Amino acid sequence: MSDPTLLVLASLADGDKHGYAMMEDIQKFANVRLGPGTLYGAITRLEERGWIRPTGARDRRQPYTITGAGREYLEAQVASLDQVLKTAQRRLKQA
Amino acid sequence: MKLLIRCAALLYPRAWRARYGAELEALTEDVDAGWREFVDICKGAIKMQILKGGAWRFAAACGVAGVIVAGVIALRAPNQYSSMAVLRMAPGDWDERVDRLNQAEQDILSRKSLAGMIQKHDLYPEERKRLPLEDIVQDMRNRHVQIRMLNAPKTNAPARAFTISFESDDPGKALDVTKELTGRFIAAMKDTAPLELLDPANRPLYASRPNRLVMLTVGLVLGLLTGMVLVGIRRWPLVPLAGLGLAILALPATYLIPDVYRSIAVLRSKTADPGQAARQVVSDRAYLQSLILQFGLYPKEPNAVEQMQRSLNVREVGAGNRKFCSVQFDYSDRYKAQGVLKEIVARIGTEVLDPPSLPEQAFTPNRLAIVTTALLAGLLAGTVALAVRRHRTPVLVG
Repeated sequence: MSDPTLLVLASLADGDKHGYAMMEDIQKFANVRLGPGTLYGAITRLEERGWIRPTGARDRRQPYTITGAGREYLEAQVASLDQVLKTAQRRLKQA
Repeated sequence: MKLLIRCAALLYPRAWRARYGAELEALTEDVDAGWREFVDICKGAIKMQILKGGAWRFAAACGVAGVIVAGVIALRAPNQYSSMAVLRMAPGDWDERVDRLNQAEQDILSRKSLAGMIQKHDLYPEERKRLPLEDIVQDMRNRHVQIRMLNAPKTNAPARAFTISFESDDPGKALDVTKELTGRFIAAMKDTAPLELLDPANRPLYASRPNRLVMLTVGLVLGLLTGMVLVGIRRWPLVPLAGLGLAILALPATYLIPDVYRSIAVLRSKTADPGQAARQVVSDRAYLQSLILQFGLYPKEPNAVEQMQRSLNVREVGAGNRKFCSVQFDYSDRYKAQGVLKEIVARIGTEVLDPPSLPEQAFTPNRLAIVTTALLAGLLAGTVALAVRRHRTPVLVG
């Protein structure tokens, strides 16, 4: 999985983070290094859709938190990916 | 690098920068941004401009990018200097003198002759390290040596004068080679058709190429067009999809149209009119019928002779010049096209200046033109469909 929006949501599901912390977290759990432009493109889209929002005081290193709608979306995507994963595993065993 | 990153960040739309600019800057400081991050920010900025930025501003930015790219190419392109001499033939039989001049040109621009000049004047030193001499000689003959006949002003008739020019990145070499070519032509023609040197070769003061202003203008226009296309693709995907869809459908359809190959021969006669002789032959129905049977032409056509007459064409070559004519034959098999034309040319019986050619490529259908037309038609249809969709009145239900 390399979709930046899903990676950001997955990172924030664990707790509020600012941009650099998200990058480091995503590097650790997904082994994907998002560039600053890619990360903030994803943050822009997610904030527009209401799936994340800034939290705490306005700061250059602004932390973000996942919203309820964001959690629902993430859960739906994870369920879909899980279905695909299980089907692929089953078919590989049968082959 | 920090400065470059800041400049790249400025490519984002103003409203976006007002909201996220400080955060992006802080992030680039934390990651110790390098070239990868610079490229990533540029890509992100372009995407954001397409999505959020003003279309005209984005197109203008692409225009500026086009100018920068064109500027880099223009600055790296080496100057080319051209030296030219003007010669004139003595009065006499024009056709004979042109023949002798063509013969002299073939000898002077032969591989051996040009290879000798390349060595003598140390031309193309960098290319000689990388490329075979054959390729360099061909390039020199096709691109850098120019021999052009001049027309008399007002009458547009041949003025017996011609120019010899050579282009090089070294003005001194351009002059030396042009002088040598001029000397060789004068020596080759002195016994048969003496040449008069009207204007000796000059040492060029200014580069003739590249025209950097034209290159920058082309870069600007291409950049603007690219910007507008990118904005259009993102905002109105129906338009390019319709264009691509129609182009994709048109391409295989072009293969339903049979290829037609054209073989051409050029004939000459010093006394009679070769065009008239050719027309007599191609209008001889009995002769054409014999060719149809001999070569197995038009197997499924009921009116084979008429079909063949439509595929044969005789034209005078050179404005109203009755001494040269071209004969061409179009057919779906290139070997038969050439074979039939050979028979016809032999029957016409005049001097053959250019024997019937074996066509390498079909001259029709022009698949590129058809697909391009389909693409443009699709783009237009997509634009119209989009306009109609936007102006449709919503239907009220209930």
